[in-house]
Amino acid sequence: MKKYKFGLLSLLIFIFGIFISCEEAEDFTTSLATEDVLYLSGERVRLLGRILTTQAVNATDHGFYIATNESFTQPLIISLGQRTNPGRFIGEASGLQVDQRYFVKSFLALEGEMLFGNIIELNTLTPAATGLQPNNGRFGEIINILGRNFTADTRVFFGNTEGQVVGIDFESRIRVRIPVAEAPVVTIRVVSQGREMVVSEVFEYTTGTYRKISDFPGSQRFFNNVFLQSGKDFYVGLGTERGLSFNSQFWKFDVLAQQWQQVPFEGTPLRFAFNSTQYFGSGSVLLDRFPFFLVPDFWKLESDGSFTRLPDLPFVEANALAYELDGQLYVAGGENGFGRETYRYSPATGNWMRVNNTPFRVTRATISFVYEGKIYILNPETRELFAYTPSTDTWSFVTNYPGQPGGTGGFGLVVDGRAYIGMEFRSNRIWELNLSNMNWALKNDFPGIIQASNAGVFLHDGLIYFLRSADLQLQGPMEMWEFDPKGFN
Amino acid sequence: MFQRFILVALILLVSSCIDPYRISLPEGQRLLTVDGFITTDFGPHRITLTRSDTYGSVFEGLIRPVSQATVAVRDSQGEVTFLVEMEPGIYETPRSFRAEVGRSYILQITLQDGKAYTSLPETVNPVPAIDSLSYRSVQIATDSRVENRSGVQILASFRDPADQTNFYYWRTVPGTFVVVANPELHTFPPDHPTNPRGPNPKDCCATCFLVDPSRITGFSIASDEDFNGLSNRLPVAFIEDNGLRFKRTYRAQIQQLGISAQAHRFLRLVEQQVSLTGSVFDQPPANIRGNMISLSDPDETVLGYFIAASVDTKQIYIENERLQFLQTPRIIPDDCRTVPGAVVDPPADWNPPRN
Repeated sequence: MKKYKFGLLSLLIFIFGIFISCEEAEDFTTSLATEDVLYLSGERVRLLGRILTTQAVNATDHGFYIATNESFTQPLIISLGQRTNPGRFIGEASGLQVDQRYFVKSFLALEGEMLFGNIIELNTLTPAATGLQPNNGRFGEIINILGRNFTADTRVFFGNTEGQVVGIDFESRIRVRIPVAEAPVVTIRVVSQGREMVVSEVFEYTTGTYRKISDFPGSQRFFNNVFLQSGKDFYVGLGTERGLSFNSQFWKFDVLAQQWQQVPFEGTPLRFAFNSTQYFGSGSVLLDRFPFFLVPDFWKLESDGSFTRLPDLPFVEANALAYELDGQLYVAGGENGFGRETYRYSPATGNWMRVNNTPFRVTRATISFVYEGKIYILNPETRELFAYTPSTDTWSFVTNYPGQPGGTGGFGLVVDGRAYIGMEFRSNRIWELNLSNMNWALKNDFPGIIQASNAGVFLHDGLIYFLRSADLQLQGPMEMWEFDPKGFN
Repeated sequence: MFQRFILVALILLVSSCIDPYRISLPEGQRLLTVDGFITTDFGPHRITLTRSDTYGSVFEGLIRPVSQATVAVRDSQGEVTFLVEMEPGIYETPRSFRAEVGRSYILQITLQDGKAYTSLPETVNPVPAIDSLSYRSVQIATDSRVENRSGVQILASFRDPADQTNFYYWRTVPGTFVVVANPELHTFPPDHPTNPRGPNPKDCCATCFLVDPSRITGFSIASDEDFNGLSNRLPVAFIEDNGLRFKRTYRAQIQQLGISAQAHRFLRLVEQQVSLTGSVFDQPPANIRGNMISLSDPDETVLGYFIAASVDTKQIYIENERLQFLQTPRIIPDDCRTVPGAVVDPPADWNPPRN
């Protein structure tokens, strides 16, 4: 029995000894790492540090040192305050000098002892201004200047006039309010921490001036009429007078003398006829809108101001779109057929032939313009601009129109490689398309009444003229307006 | 005897009163999850932001997209590219955007509530070109005595550059395959008034083209520590035969990406986690820390990893007659255009090699 008790006691002492002997004195160490540079720009840096330990730390402060020298004399200190838990911490500093070498290290203040992490070397980045968005606008509007590493003190100059910086997003996009114009086209300068950057793109102030140059010498209002041009002489005629009676005559406006003169016409009065600059034809001889009673009449305005009747058309159409390319006449769409068929007339042979259909239904209300041997047409629904190349007989997409969708009845004309599109029904806007780089810019708004249609549109000497025929409920004569796309005031 | 019976009955009565034990689990957090990468190919590159679901004793919710966030990619030169939200939670770079080798990129996210997140910088490392792709038919044993799984293993041949430490990541872009149908076997519907299930062969169409609708894309990774500077031929993808894919021709497209060591480590851990089988030898399940950090709380768990990588892409046409193991073909007794997404015209760049 004694032997048994002795054995049991020995076993307990042995087990107790094992447990006692397994206790080791704990030795905790705390390490600190300057892990990474999370963000670096011209003047800002965001740093990531980490405290590595298996126990809580009682740090009175932690953060980062930043200095221009490796010995960290006169450092900029990012102090993140007390810290008890190990793990990651992020510090951020701004106000650094651009394009400057810096050294950074993390620190941890532990009960009088200062612990430092590894040193990382970095170079702050250089600011750059790369572009404008958009590159045009008017006084008071806000545009974006794109680039990188813009500093908080960035200033923007339009020519010599400073614009108000509204904000800088992600140090890469400056929102700036356009100042008063000192010239129609100015260079944009951006200054960050004394460094001047010139944006390669120039900025264009919104231009375009309007002037009413003449009232029509009568009370007539032309609708569904045709308009033609021969040099300085603009012709408007046929169609209806307020939709109540046919207008059987033409009127000529001499833009240099600014005088109106009535011109007799011996043909049948028409409405819904097509017209290009010199040619017009077909259309309906009934006053009712429907049904059409269409005729194949075909006329040409001669350079001496007389009208020549040409052989009848091989088709009839109402409200077709017509344009002249390389001396040949094209007639497209209309409301009588399926709206896309296109005919080409060769004045040399007098022959008509079918060419490729337009990519969508067109009428004379479709905005179109001719440039460098191509016709451009605008789909009012999709706002897509298409171009027709006669040599290949193909249509191709060009660009999208930024104006309002659904607009018809506007005009399109080209002056010095820039197309001017707009003045659709109930619109006072004109857009400019730079055909060399497909850049769109809005022009100044038309100051006249918008309850009117364009009874005639003409181009002379770099200026656009349009005859406005007001809606029936409005008083007053038709007005001839002059639009100078480059006008600046 | 009766007393014993009463005693037994009482014991049974007491023992049958078992209360269900309800486990009260702490509600998990809805963690921000970032998924996406940018490469040296032209965009659009896609970043997806979601909130993870919580866990509990029942299914409690859905993975929700994180909408209306400001998402931007910034390179080491300070160039910022903003991403546009195309669908809820899906943000895309412009088409013109492409990463450049040697630059590092960070992903910056600002949520609608003002919380900001950033990734750690990811440097774009160069990747060698894929010299060629090849394939072989493989069979995988299953529990079924009757049928084994089979599929096609794709192998990439490339030469690893000796002067760099390279980490590889291979992805399969959704492939395109010929859908073979049997319109001549088409029958009337069972409720046809005169000829239920009677033959009603169709003239068109027996073959269509379909982009593989499978949403599960496998991946492979490797580091060059075992083959630095050597020419290699490694299995990089496996496409399982579902009875439809390999009835004629399947075009697989493989991306070989050069990623950072950190991204490789992350994907290796993901690979380990997704290959858990439930055995005692498995790795313990765990959340894998990515490279996204909350600026307001660096210890906040953000799931996912933003990868910036260089890429080389190659495609290979897999022909049915060259496959040793095939599943029983699935019969489509109808016009192949009835298969959702199938079209008659081949893709513009469909050009299988002629034998």
